[in-house]
Amino acid sequence: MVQVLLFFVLLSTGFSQESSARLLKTEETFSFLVLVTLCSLIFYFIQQAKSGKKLWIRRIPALASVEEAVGRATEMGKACVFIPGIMDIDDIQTLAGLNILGSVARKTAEYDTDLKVPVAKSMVLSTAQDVVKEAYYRTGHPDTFNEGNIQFVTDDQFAFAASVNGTLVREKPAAIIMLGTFYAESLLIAETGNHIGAIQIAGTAETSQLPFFVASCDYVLIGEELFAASAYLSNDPMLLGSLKGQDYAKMLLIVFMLYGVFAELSIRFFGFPEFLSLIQYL
Amino acid sequence: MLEFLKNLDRRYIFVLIALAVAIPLIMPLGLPLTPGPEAKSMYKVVDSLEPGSKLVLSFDYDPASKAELHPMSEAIIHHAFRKKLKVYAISLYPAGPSMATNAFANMSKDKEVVYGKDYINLGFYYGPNTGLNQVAVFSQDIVNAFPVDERKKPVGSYEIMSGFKSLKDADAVISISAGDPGVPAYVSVANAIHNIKVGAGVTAVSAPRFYAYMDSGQIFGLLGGLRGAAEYETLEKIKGKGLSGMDAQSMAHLVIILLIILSNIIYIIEKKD
Amino acid sequence: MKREIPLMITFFTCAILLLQFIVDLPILDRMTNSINDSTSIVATFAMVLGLASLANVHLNKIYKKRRDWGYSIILMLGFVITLVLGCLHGVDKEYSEALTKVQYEAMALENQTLKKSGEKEIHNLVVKSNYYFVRNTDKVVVTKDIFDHLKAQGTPVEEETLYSVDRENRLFYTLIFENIYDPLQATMFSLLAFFMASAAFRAFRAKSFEATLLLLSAFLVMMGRVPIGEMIGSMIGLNAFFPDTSDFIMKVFNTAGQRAIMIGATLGMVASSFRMWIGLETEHLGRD
Repeated sequence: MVQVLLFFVLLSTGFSQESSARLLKTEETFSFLVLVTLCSLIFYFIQQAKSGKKLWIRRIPALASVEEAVGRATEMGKACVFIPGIMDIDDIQTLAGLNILGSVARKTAEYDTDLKVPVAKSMVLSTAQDVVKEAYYRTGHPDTFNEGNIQFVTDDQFAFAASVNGTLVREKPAAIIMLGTFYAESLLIAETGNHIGAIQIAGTAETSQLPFFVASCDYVLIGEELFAASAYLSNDPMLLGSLKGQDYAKMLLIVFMLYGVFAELSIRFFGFPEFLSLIQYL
Repeated sequence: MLEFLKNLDRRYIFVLIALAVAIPLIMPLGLPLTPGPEAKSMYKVVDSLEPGSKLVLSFDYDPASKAELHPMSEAIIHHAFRKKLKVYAISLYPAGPSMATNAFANMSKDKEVVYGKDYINLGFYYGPNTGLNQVAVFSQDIVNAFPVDERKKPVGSYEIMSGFKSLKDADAVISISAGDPGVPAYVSVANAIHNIKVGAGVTAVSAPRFYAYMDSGQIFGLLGGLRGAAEYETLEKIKGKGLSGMDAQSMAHLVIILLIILSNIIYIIEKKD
Repeated sequence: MKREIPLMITFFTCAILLLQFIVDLPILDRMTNSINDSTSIVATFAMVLGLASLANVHLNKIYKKRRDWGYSIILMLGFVITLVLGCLHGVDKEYSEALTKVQYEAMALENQTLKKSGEKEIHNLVVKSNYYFVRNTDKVVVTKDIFDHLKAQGTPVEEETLYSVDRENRLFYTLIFENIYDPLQATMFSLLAFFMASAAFRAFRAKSFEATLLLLSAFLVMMGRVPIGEMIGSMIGLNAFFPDTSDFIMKVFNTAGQRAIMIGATLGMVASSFRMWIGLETEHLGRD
C-alpha cells in the first residue's frame, strides 16, 4: 500500500511542476485530482479499519437473502443457478459478480446443494471454476465439487439467453442469482425465472436493465450495491473501510453538485458570474 | 372469471401482443408522427455539414437488433448521400460490417454514389475492454486499425481516405449501438478526450440511459429505438421501415396499457373482497 | 505464489495504464499498446479453451447418454457444420476461387455469350498480376512502375498473371448467417416485447403510493412515445400533452435517477478497482 501512496505523491509533485516541463497531460488534471482524492479517502479509511476502529454497514436485503435462497434450494432438493453476467473478465461488474460467487459457492458447498454457473466468456469460465473450486476446498467438501457444473455456453448474447432459459425450464432450479453486466437478455432470463417460480436475486450497474430486474426478481442490487457486496458478505474490516471512504467521496461530490446548482442559480437570479469561474476552470 | 383473469396464462398475453403487432403491419394505419427535440438535434447537425464533410457511422449492432436499429442507419445514410457527405462505416461488433454492407446497398440504389469515393465500409476491429481500446485506436490512427476495407483492399488505395487519418478528422461520428461496445465508448474516449462530435442511435430499452449524455452535451443527438428512426425518416421526408413499424408499436403500447388497467381492476376487486 | 504473481501483474499493469492516462511519454504509449495487444492475444487463446470445454461437456453427455443428450447432438452438429463451412470458404459474403487460364477463358467466353444475348454476366472474373525482379534464382516482388522501368532497361523481370472468380459464399454466409443466424437472433430479441407485456401485467399494480406514481409515469411515457398517444390526446383536446409530459418525465425525473445511479455505480467501480489494484480484494483470483 505504501508504494501506491508513493506513486500518487510522485505524480502529484509532477503536476505542481507542470509549467516547467510538458510531461504531464494537463487536460487530465481534474480527472487525476478526483482520482487521487477518492483513492486517498479510501486508503485513509482502510488504515482506520486496520487500526481496529469499528465500522458499520447498513443491511442490504438482497445480500441477506442469498442464504435464504440457497437454503430454499436445499430444502427443495433443487439446484441453485449463478450467472455472472455476459461480459468478459475485464469488466469490473463481472469481477464483482465473481467475488460474490465465492460466498455463494461456500454456502452451496456447506448445504450440499448443486451450484450451476453458465458463463458467456471463456476467460470467465476458468476464473469461475477456480473460485468455486476454492470455496468447496475451503469448506472441506472437495469431493462434491463438479467442474462440469460451471459451463461455457456461448459468447453470443441471445444464444446464451436461449440456452440459460432452456436449462431453467428443464431443470427448474429453486434459486437464480444474476450478478454482473446484463443487457437485453436480462428480462428474458428473469421472466423465465419468475415463471418457473424460482427465488431470484439480481444486481447490475446497467441502469437500463434495472427496471426489468425490479419487475421480475425478488431482490435487486442497484448499481454501487453490487460493488459493496463482497465487503458486506466477507465483513472484512479493511473492505468495509474502503466502503466508508467511498461514502465520503460521494459526500464530496454532492458538495460539488450543490456548488454547481448554487452557481447556476446565482447567475440566473442575481447575476453573479464569479461563482462559475471555478466550475469553468474544472 | 376473476379467478381466470387473476391467474391469466401468459400465453394469452403473448397472443394479444402478436396480434397487436401483426395486424397494423398487414393493414397500416398511417398515424402521423411529430419528431422530438433529440432527433431534431441529430438531424440539424448532420444537415449543417457542408458537402464533402466526413461522417463516420459506427455500426455497433448485429442481426438481433437489426429491426430496431437498421432503419436509423438507412435514414442517416440517405440524408448523408443527399447532402453529398463522405460516409465511413466502422464497427465494434463482428456482425456490424455486414449490416453496413446491407444498409449501403439499400441506400445507394438509384443514387450517383461510388464505393471508395463517396462511402466506404472499413469493417470490424477487435479489441478488449468494451470498446474503449478500439475507439482509442480509431482516435489516434484509423488506417492502422483498418489496413484493408471490408472488400479486403488496402484502404490507402481509395480516394475517400485521403485526409482521413483518424476519428479526429471526422466532422461528426454517429454510433448506432445495441449496447456495449458502442455509444459509451465513443462518449468516454472520442468526445471526452478528443472533443469529437458524437451522436447516438440506440435501442428503445437503453435510450433512457442516454438522456443524461444528451442533457450534458456529450452527444449532439439521440435516436431511441424504432421511434427514433421514424422521427429521422419524418425529418428526411422518406417512408422507411421506422415509420411503417410505428403503427405496430402504437398498438402494442395500447395493448400493454389496457393490460395494466385490467391488472389494476383485478387488484382493486381482490382488495375489496 | 498462485496469488502473488497475478497480484503483481495486476499492480504493474494498472500502474502503467494509469500513468499513460496522465503522463505524456511515448514509451508509456508503446507499453499500453503492448498490454492491449497481449489482452487480445490471451482472449483469443481463451476462446479456444472455451470451445474445447464446450465440446468436452457435450461429447461426454452424448457418450454417457445423460438427460437431454439429444440437445447436445444438435449443438455438436451445429458446431461442426458451421466450423467446416467457415473454414472452407471463409465468413465473408464472397470468396475468391483460383482458376487456371483455360478455366478462366471458358468462363469469359460464357460471359461474352450472355452479354451478346442481352443477359447479365454470371461469372465475377478477376485478373491480377504480380511483378517480380529476377536476380539469379531469387524473385523479388516489385510494383508495376518499377517493373516497367526495369523492363525498359532490359533487366530480367517476370510477370505472373493470376486468374480467379469471386463466388457468393452461399453455404456459410447465405445459409448459416442470413437464413439461420439472422432469424434466430431476431426471434430472441422479439421475445422481449412479449416478456415485457407479461412483466407489465404482473408488476404495474397500484399497491402503494410509490407504485401508483410508477404506474402513472409508465402510462404517460408509453402514451407519449407512440403516434397513437398524440392522436388520442388531440381527440380529447390535449394536443401535445402526452409527448410533452413524456419528454418532461424522461428529461427530468429519468435523467436525475439515471445520473444518481450512474455516479454511485462509478464510485463503486473506482473503489472496487482500487481494492483489486492494491490486492485487498482477491476472491476472484481463486485458490491459493
